[in-house]
Amino acid sequence: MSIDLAASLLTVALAAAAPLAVAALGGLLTEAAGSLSVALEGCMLLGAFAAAAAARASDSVTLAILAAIAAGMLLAALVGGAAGALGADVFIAGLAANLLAPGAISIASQALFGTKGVVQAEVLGSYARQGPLSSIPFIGALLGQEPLFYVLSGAAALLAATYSKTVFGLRLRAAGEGREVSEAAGIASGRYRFAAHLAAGGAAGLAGAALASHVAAFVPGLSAGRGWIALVAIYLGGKRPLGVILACLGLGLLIAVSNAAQGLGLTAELLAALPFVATALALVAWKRLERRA
Amino acid sequence: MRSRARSEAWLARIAALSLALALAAAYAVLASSEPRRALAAFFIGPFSSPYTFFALLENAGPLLVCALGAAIAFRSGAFNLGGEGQAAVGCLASALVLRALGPSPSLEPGLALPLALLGAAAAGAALASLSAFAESWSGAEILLTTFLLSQAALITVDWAIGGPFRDLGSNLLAMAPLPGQYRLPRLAPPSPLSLGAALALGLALAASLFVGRTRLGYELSLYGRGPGFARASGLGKALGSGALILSGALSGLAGGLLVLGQAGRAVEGMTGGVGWNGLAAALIANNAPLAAIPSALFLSWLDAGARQASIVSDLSPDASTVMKAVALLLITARYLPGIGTWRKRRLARGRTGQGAGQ
Amino acid sequence: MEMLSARGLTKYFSETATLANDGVSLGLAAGEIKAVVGENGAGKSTFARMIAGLLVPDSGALWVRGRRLRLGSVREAEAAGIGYVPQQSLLADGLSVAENLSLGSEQRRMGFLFDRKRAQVEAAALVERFGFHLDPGARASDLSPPERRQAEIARALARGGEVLVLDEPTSILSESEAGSLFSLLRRLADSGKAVLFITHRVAEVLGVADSIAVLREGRVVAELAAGAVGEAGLSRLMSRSGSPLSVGGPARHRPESGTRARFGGEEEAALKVSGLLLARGSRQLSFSVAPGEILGIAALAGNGLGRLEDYLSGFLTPTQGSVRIGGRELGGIPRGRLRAEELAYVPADREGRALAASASLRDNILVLRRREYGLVDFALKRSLSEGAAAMASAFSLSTDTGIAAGSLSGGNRQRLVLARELDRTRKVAILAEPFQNLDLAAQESAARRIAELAEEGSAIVLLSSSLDELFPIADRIAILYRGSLVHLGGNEGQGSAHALLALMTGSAPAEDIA
Repeated sequence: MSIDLAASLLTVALAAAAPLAVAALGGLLTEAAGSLSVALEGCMLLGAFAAAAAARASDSVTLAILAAIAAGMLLAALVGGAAGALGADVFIAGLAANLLAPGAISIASQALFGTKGVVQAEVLGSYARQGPLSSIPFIGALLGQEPLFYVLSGAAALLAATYSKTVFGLRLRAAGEGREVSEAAGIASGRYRFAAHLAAGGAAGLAGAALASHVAAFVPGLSAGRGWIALVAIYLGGKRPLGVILACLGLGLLIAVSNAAQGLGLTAELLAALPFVATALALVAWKRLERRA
Repeated sequence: MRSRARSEAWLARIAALSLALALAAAYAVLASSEPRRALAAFFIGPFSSPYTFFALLENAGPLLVCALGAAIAFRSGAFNLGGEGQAAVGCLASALVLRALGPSPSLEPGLALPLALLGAAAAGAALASLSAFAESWSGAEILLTTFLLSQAALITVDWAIGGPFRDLGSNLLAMAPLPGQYRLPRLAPPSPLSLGAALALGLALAASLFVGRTRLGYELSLYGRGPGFARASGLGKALGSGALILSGALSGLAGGLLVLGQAGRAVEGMTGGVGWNGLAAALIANNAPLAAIPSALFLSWLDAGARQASIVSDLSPDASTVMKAVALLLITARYLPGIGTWRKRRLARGRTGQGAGQ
Repeated sequence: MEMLSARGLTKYFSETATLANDGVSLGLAAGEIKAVVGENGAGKSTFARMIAGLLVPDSGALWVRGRRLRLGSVREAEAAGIGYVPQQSLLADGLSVAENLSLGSEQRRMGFLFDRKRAQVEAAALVERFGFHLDPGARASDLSPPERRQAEIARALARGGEVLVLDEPTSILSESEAGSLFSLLRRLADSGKAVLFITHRVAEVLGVADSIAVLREGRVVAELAAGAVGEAGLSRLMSRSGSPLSVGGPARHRPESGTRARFGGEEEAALKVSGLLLARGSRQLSFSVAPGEILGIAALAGNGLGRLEDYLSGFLTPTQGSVRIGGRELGGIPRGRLRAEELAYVPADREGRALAASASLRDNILVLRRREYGLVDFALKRSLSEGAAAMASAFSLSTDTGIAAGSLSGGNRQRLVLARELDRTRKVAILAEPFQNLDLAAQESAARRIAELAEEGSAIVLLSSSLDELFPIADRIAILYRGSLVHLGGNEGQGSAHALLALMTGSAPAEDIA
């Protein structure tokens, strides 16, 4: 493999891994609190749409990102509320959110922009332009990424620190040990679980904003299963922050490789299937190794 | 006590569905310039002519078959989230079987059609069996692998239909239309109602008998109560794998019905959410095959209503998606206002009561 | 100074129609260790849970350090200085000891960061001060049972506990471990804490407690100073009939052996275990059980009893050695038939294996008889309901067999499992902790039923962490320690308890087993 190819693979891998990691680390908080984060996919998609809509309305990338986070949290609040206050099955509520997002987006998009299709938001693209150092091999992969990459990295670090360094994270993990255990410690597990849902939703929303920035637009189906891949990354990472980050880097590399494989004669349409197959294979292999250990 | 718990569960379901309908009505009133017309179109439109009503029934067919598949998997304790992809490979497989038989019908339709449907079911079953195998070999979660493989399958099928097998004579991303003999017979022309809907109904009855009247069906629902319990009680893992594969076969069959029914050809993206809607229908029906019939009809009615309303007014046909989502969000809720309060109190009492066993 | 004063605490459980506590009044002074003793079902745990605020008494009052408490509030009980240590451990397994101690009143930096270092230091200081044997940095899931118990007590202290209430603190501890726990409790009392501990083991309270309260059928029947009564006298006070019972265990009559027990005879062994390896480094395990014989195997938690249960029930397939039923390898018998006809199995882990909480009583009770129904049976539902109702009434369970098994009380769940597994004679029965959660009467009838099955030719293995449960019924008793068989011999009754306990705790050398 030539140095150039390796370097460009690395750049693409990191760029693909960053949004995955943010969503997965958000989901990790929910998992830690003893709940499931099936709604990552829906929150991501809604976040992407909110980012595009806010960017068009305000011309501000910052506002777009905030809107994406808020939108993700809103959807997650529905899931957390249904599961917590109403006692609904959190998994099924999460599936409902994944169904709700595209439907609601389509209606809103029609009402706001008169289209159910692509919503252009040029200003979002400005955050997704690579920096001046990007042409240097390998160093560029780290230092020459788009500004958004650093926002995402910061968010990922923040989420990981929330998990392992804060009182909130500690209590979340206690809440995940069951109602009796956490209440013996005087912790209202339900409230922490809900907060974890919100955090995961916000993180997934931010990841969605990143996806929208890459194409400077909202495109229906933009999240394309990335939320699910992030969910798998939580399992692959052994439900620990560092492990989840490593799993996302690995999956990012897989995505980069399958993009690069386009040069090998596979058609672009078919290549889109590769990340899913690869993620499934990684999951199976990992589980098999875990079982034998 | 049991009947009360059960009627409560159904009450909660009806409440969730009513809430979804109320939401849709509110949306129509708020968003439409002619709320009265929109509402009428939504709620009554699908029943206004035999044609629209039969179309509703025809669309409910594949949905029902998918719902049966999802319900069988649920009953065995597995989430089959791959219904969409399994239906897609079913579409492709049935179209390919008939394509292989040649453009001019060389085989009796009475043989060719079952063969095509069998191919569809086999394709869905094959896709699901990958997940079943992965689960027993490594313990990879069924709900994750079915979803991931289904996504890959959807992409691959779309590529196949729009690529190598595309009918170049058409503007659509689709395979060539099937010859007339190779379509399912229409029951009420000119409406699209076909034998597929009747077949779905028959399958629902068969599934109900299977679940409630056979030992295997009984063992299946016992198996779904938990892996530890199943193993301790001598219920083999083959039951779970078998249920998942059967579930995949049903989803695949639904795909076949889509191709052989109304569409008459394989079109890119033609599953259009039938797998997910089937899942929703199964959940609304509490995984009871007979209850899946009204449940599938209900969802089909929502789709038809939203479509009708969008024709006569400025409402979005996606309203039905949102309604399904809202219904699904609340369908498993245990503490809906009104039902919840006394239920909660009873639960609380039960909890203190447990203190007796010291 | 009076630290705790309970006045007339009364609690009635309508579900089981029992008056669990009937006007219980007790006082406790600073520096005092008081034992509350009583048989199973005497109302001890109910009393402790009311003090801890976990249960709301129907009537009565509670004063802690001169303040009257609002009843039924955990928070208020805690604020008043009550440190409750429940019977079942409630540590967060994924967290370290220090984190568990700190949970709820965490050491913070900048308001929201968790100061792990300070939590460690403070936990270490607490451990040091009271002489715990604990590593504050260890994960709770890695702790041994006595360490877990210590960590629970340390947590109660860390949360400002002045009055410690311990519910059966020694239930999972060996004698020597219990001894060091008691010296810890003494140190705590000497530093001014008040300690109330609940137990049904008479022997252990005599050397430890300053005072003893005896609870019987929900009432305090005696309050004594230490030394005022001996072991026999205390047992007499506890027992309902007024006559001394075998301590802690139900009285059961072991049918005269001879006709029933036919030891040895390799060719007629119903269950034959050979060369099984329970843990790395342990000795290989071999034994056989003849038809009609009851073999009791005792071990303390963490010594391989659970693993042995997994092998004997076929949950795990041994990589070394074999388990044979009637001469055939266990793993080679189709499981459906095995469980229906050849192997009765009462699992120790109730929730996961024994019962499906979400399924109906009917399905739980018939799961092993499912093969009696036709492949296709148009009256399946009705025949199932009838079959279940017949079984339920035969075992005096609720005849409303549609209710979810999860809604039953712990005792009734256990009765359901026993009803299912003991309804007929199967070749082999593996019964793990079969008397768990049962009241005295139910324990007795279960023991009678087990003896009956043996009479009818079942080979029975009883797995238990309590010797008391084995003495009245087993023909032979085996002891597991660290995965190795360290004793296998005839049942010599209570008289051999001390020697066997020493083997269980590893304080006596293992015997050679042929």
